[in-house]
This record gives sequence, C-alpha cells and structure tokens, in this order.
Amino acid sequence: MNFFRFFTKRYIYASLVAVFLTVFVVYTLLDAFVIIKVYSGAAITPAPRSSTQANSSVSPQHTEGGDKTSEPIITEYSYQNQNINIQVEKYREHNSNFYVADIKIVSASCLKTAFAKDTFGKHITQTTSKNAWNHRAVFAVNGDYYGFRDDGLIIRNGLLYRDAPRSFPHNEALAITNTGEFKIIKEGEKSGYDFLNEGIVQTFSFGPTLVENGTARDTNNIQENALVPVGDNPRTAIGMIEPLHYIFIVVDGRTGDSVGMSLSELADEFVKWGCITAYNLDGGGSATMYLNKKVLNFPADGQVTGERKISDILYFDGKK
Amino acid sequence: MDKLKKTVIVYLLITLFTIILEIVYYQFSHGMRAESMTYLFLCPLFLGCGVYEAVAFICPKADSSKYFRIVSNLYNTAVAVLYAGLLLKGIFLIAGSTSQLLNYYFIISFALFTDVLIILVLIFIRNKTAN
Repeated sequence: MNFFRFFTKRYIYASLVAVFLTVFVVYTLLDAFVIIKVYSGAAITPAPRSSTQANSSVSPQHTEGGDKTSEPIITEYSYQNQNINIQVEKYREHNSNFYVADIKIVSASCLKTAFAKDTFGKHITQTTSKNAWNHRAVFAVNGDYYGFRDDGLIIRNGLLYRDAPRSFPHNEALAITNTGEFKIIKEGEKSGYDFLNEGIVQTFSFGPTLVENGTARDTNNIQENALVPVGDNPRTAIGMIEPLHYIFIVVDGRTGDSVGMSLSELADEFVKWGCITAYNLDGGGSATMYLNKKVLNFPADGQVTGERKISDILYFDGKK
Repeated sequence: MDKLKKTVIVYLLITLFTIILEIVYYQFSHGMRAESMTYLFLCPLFLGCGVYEAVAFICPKADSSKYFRIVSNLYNTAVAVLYAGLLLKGIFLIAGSTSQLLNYYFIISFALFTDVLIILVLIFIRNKTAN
C-alpha cells in the first residue's frame, strides 16, 4: 500500500510528472528537429536487367570511357554544352520575383541528385550552394528536404534509400524515369523496389502536384493534398514540357519586395510554360536556385541566418 | 475553495493559455494550420473543466473520498500527456517534420485513461460489496 500512497502525496507526484513530461517533450522536439541520424545499410539497387532490355542509364554518375564535353558557353544566366542547355530568366508577377530555368538535356542521366554531405540521414544538412559546389554542379535547386521527416519514398540516382510511404491524401510523389519522363505516383501503391524495377531513378516526396496531363490542379485539390501553406510563400517547383525538357521555377518571398506565390499561381505559371507535369518541392527558406557558381535568388532565410541548410539538391553538372 | 472547484479553475486557465498560444503560433506559421492545434483547447476544456464540473454535479463530495487524489492524479496525468501529444503533433505538422516518439504520447495517455477507468470500477464494486 505504501507504493500507492506515493500517488496521494500532494505535490511530489505532480512535480515528478511535470519533470518527466517536460524532459520527454524536449527530447521529442530534439528528435524531430535537431538530432542527427545517419541511416546505415546499403541502398537497394534494382533487379539485374537482361541483355535484351533497353540499356537505360540508371546510375548517372559516370559514363565509361569518360564524358568528353565540349567547351561550354557560359553567361550570367545561361550554360550550354553538348549535353545540356540551361536558360534562366527573371520575372516579376503576383508581386513576386521568380526565376524560371528552361533546361534541355540529351539524356536522363544528366539530371542528378545529391544528399547533403553525401550522407543519407535525418537532419544532415548543407546549403544548396555548398552541395552544388562539391558536386561541380552548373545548376542546382533544393530538393524535397527528405531529412526533415521519417517517411516518404526516396529513390535517388537509381537507388532505393527509403520505402516508408506517406498516408493518403498526402502520398503523391514525383517520379523521374530513366527516359527522363516525369510521373506522378502514389506512395504505397507499389513497393519502392517495384517502382525501382519499373525504371524510376529519382523520386521526390513533398508536393502537392501542381500540373498533371497539362492541366493545373484546382485550388480545392491543391488545398486537400498540400502539407504546406497554400498562400503566398517562397517556392521551388519543377515541371516537364516533354521528356528531357524541364522547367524549374524558384520564387522569392516573405519580403516587402517579393511576397511569394500561392500554389495555384505557381501551377498556372507551369501551364503557361507548357508543362504537362509539375510538382512542388520544399519552399520557404529552402527555395534556392544556383547557376554558374552563384545563388541567383534571395532565399528567405538569407536575410537573417544565411542560405538555409537542407538535405538534398537536384543538379546538373553538364555531364551525362 | 474545494479541490474540485480549484481543479476546474486551473483547467480553465490552461484552456485560455492554449487559445492564446494558438493565436500567437499561427502568426509565425506562414499560413499553415493543423487541426490538432486548432482544436487543442478542447482538450483541457472538455476533459478538464467538463469532467470535473460533471463530477462536482454528480458527486459533490467526491473530493473528500480517500481515493480522490490517486484517481485525479492519474487522470490529470493522462490529460497532460494527451495534451502534450496533440500539441507536438500540431507543431510537427506545421513544421513538416515527424518523430516516431509521438506515438508514445497517445499510447501512454490511453493506458492511463484505462487505468483510471479500472480503478473507478474497482472502487464502485468495493463500495457495492461493502454496502
């Protein structure tokens, strides 16, 4: 009975509960926002392909025999060589400044992704510019900040890193195939391994989908599927006009000069550019566009803390 | 002031604090809202004020029972853990983060509520058999 008398003591019990609960809440917050975890274990590769199957590149890091690129033509807002043509223009609409990169590539393997510090894990971060610099990127944008969460389907450069599908209705992901086509997939519809074996080499787990089959998703659909603010904010999003021809848009926001775009406005912008598929990536302070060793836009966090450190980037280094 | 009334007032203050917290938090959430945070104030309001008001109405001398403190301590703990879980869920949803530890809040809260229920049933049975 003495044990149970503890529960009747006036303030001792309440004080102890308050201390334990506070400690556990603090630890939970640290786990969600701070504690770094490296996910060990090999990434999963696709099943071996037979020699009769199409010889599509799934690991775009290097081509055998070296990739002999011609001397690139570089200006402040463009980069062009035999593998890639990048043209960036700055626009102003919706009280916002935004940057549109029109990118044409010769092979799907030109589009690459990289983790911060080349390590897959939670809260492992690096600025877009540093990550891009390390990979000798000529162009890069921030990715889906996979490392801020424990869920999401993550396939990068033809390897499966995480198969933890998000739940409906927030489970639409962008998949890029080994032919350079953008597809909208539902996480959990198939296993990550099945997606991998279908020729998907990159996935991004953020959203919502902005454009599908050439039509902008309506506002209600966007609101239902968005796990992010739908109003004016800095944005990063990518779209496909046709396989190997892409549009990247980064919008500045949260400043007096540039308020940002709503997701509906962003969707309409991709439709204007002729995209048949477009998908929203991490925005806010993460929104960053990098070209020719410079950050072109003004990341929202930059005014206070500098360019935000994030988990991953999409980039082109001008090679296949 | 008896213990029941004091407890109702404390939960009322927590409800008000929660409403103020939500208003302030949403100023910085860039338009993002989370249901668990929007309706968080209902937790101390119904599970706190509501339940203790009901107890005061049904059984006005409940706080003089020798079992009152143990039951109320466990019950308040269950509400506190549930409140913490819902608050964190809202924070994570707005921030876009997750934590596997969040599930433990709801499991522990459910376990504590169940304990309270079991104890109340046992007290009821004991009183019945004593009579």
